[in-house]
Amino acid sequence: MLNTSLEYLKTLIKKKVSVKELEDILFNLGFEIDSLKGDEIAIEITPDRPDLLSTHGLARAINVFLFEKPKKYEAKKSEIKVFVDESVNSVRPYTVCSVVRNLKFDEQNLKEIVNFQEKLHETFARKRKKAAIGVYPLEKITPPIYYKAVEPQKIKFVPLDSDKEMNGNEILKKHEKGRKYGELLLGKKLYPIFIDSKNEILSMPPIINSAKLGKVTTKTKDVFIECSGEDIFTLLKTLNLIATTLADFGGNIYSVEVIYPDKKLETPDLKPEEVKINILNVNKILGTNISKEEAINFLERMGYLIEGGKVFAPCYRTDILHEIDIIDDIGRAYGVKNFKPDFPLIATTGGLLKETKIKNRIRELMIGLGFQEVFTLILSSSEEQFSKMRFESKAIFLQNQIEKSINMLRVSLLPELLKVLKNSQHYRFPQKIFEIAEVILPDEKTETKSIDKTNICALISNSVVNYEEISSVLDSLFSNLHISYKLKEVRDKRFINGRSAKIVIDKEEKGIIGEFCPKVLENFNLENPVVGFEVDLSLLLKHPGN
Amino acid sequence: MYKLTEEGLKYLKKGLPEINLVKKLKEKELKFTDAKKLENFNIALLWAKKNNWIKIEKGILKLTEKGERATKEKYKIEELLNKVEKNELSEEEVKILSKRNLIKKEKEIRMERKEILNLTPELLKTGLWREVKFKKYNVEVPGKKIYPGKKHPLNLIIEKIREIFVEMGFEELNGPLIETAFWDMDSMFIPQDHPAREIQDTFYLSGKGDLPDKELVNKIREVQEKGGKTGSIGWKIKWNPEIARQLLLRTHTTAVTYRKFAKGIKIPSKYFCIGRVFRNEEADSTHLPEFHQAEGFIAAEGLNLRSLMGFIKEFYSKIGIEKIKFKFAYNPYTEPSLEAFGYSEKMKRWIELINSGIFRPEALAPYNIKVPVIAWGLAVERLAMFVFEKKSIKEILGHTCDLKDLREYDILKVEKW
Repeated sequence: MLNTSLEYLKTLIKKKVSVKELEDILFNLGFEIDSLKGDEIAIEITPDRPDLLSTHGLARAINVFLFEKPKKYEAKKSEIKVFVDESVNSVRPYTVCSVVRNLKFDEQNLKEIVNFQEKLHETFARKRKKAAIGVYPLEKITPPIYYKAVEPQKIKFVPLDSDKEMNGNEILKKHEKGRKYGELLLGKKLYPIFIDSKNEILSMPPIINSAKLGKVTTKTKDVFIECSGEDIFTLLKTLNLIATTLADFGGNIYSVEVIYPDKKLETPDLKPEEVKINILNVNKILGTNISKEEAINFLERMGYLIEGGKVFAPCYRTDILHEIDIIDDIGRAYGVKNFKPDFPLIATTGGLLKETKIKNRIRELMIGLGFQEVFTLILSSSEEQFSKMRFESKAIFLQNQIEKSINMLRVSLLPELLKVLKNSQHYRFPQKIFEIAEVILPDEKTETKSIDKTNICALISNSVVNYEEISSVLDSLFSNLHISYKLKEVRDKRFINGRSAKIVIDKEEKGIIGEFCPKVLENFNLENPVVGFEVDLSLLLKHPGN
Repeated sequence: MYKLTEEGLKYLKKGLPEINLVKKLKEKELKFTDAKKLENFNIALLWAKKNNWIKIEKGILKLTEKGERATKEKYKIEELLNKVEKNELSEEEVKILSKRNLIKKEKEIRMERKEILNLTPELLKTGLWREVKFKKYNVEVPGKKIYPGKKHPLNLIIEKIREIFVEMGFEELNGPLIETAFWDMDSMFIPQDHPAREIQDTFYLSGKGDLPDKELVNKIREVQEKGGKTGSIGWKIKWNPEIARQLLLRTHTTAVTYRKFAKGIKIPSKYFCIGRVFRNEEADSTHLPEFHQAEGFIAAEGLNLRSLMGFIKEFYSKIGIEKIKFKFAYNPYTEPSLEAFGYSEKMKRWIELINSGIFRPEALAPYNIKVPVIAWGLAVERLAMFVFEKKSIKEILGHTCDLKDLREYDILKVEKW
């Protein structure tokens, strides 16, 4: 999501556009205005396009789409060096850097670059895991700069948004950013820092900059940028995203020499990458009949650079893995409205799974017996499945649920249907409900260490209701399925003693039937007696996936 | 038409009172005081005297000679009673019986008869139904509410979607609810660091599942890391089989599609799946951590973006939406991807139901699928909420659905929508 000012965006678009026109352009490109309140606009950006998470980036895409020639970004040499110490290998092994000069910051674009940095951290940089970005006022730094890892207690500086000097450990514990991103350094003996030639700390990535060297203000003219992380490809792309946006602010990009113990990198690498397009493939995928020249024009409108008939993907694009991604861009520029839907005749025969058909037949029978079908949830809680039911069994538990009312996968439908009755007590009785649905049980023998079983469960609740009423329903079910079964009296704490039986088919226990124990009814806050049964239908229905 | 009155009917069955009296007297004489206790004595006495059949001597009733004869002969009135049903009475005879109030015009009789509520087998067997009057109902009052067994409305929607897919030539598939990350994500070229894999989106379970055969696992590794032989650069991150073994609640039905890809598909072919999926979210009026997806895919030579649009258009039209528009979208395993909106005439607005795309080459190559595969999916509860005009998903799925609503919803809604 890009949250920005509509007016600001409009000043960056070099053609006068109304909100409606803006909406149409965005829709064509595949993005939508999520909300517009006064001047505050929120635009939904898909995760493949982090370059559009800044107002300047979005304006760049709109401008080239409307008329402008795509800009080629280039870096001059800055002669600034960054030395990478091998101590960072164990914690955050890579960095790539850049310098941007002659910037004119004002409140608006300062806010913009901070926001863009944060958006990139959260999305493309995977919460700073893959990349953390630092931007510094260059005039406060004395190059060369060193990237190394040291013991946390030896790192001492005043972090941004604080007035106290802290050591590495304190920052993790006390600073807001330390608490938020601290787990990225958890268990590391050494923490990484950027430090200059005067032994002034620039920052402790991926957590926080120094207040002294790491705060860009409206007075800042030149900036030093570093990206640190685990994956050099992501770092280079991230650096390009930030550097090109600053260039769009009016700055000039300069490269930095990053010197590793075993190699030297000159970064950023803004060279656009040549892409090949096969027009046959384009038309095959899009179902169009466009010429190569047209395709190239379309790509230019999508920001691709065209030089001597060759096509180059812009350096800030992170999503081009394959020719198909370029074809997608041609499609967008061609205009989604210009595609005529085509309905080819492809002769195939359709059909339902046998399981679906069997379930439908059984559902029809239950409906014929006057039962209302219900549709309950698989995600349940041990309180409802076990404690309230006075029941126990093996089960699969959740570990990271955000919704706190759930903690396991249901093993039985009975409590779920009791919950339906609980919500229905002010309605007419008798209440007869049923469901045919899955329960999930642990099973070490299967590929997914679990088995989905399809059960049928039926309940009757009324001011007066007894075991015989439900046993005749069960009998009707089995008679119509031509399944012979036996009922064997059983003591089960869910039911009244002497009023419950296990359901046995082919000597195997397949279910339970009975009149619910008043304690269970009390636990579910039910005021009327309930009888019911639950039977495993795996006899008839195959477990999916096996 | 004349009909027996209740009295006439009684006499026809039990005999006329005067006859019964003379028969009794033939057995033995009776004291007047005892005779008084007989049924219909006053009537019997009146007519027996009129016919000169009896006399009273010292308080004792005795038969006359004429009375003696009457016990043996047929009694005129009795004969006449027998003729009533056959409708053979002469005018004279009608007068005789009418005078004794034993017959009446049919209409009049009805007015008089006892009103009854229920026709019983007894009344039918004895024929007495002819003599009773049925109590009038207020037939214009609507009937008392009764509740049939009914399908759940969400199942009606699911059935409708199944019906549409089958009509369009799709075969149904299913798959397990618990999956390995391999089938839910890795198999379809979702990178191992994709945000959707994070714990705030996916329910992870303890333990690890099994990976499929080594050959497929290696192909997935190659395509994820370097794009395999597809011409793609891949995700450029090291692929970790341990992450792929992670057990989770499936987040989309595409896992079922990929199990089918691995098992092998016919060319051309169309398959679909409707199933429950899970997202680690808090429940609110539009979200539940579990819901249903319907998904269909077609593998055939010559399919392209326009045919994807054509199939979606056809599908939308089958759920009653004719006006549609598309928007390019993003999905890690399809490219191009499209969102399809349908215009609801009833709601007067665009609704977003369908997501779709053409599977990426990297997402097909490991399964040796060499033709284009197009696919689309829709959120089942969303459609159900539109059709049944519900504001909250909890009114469509779960124990929170209102029983009264389930008992009373319009069963044709899906067809009328």
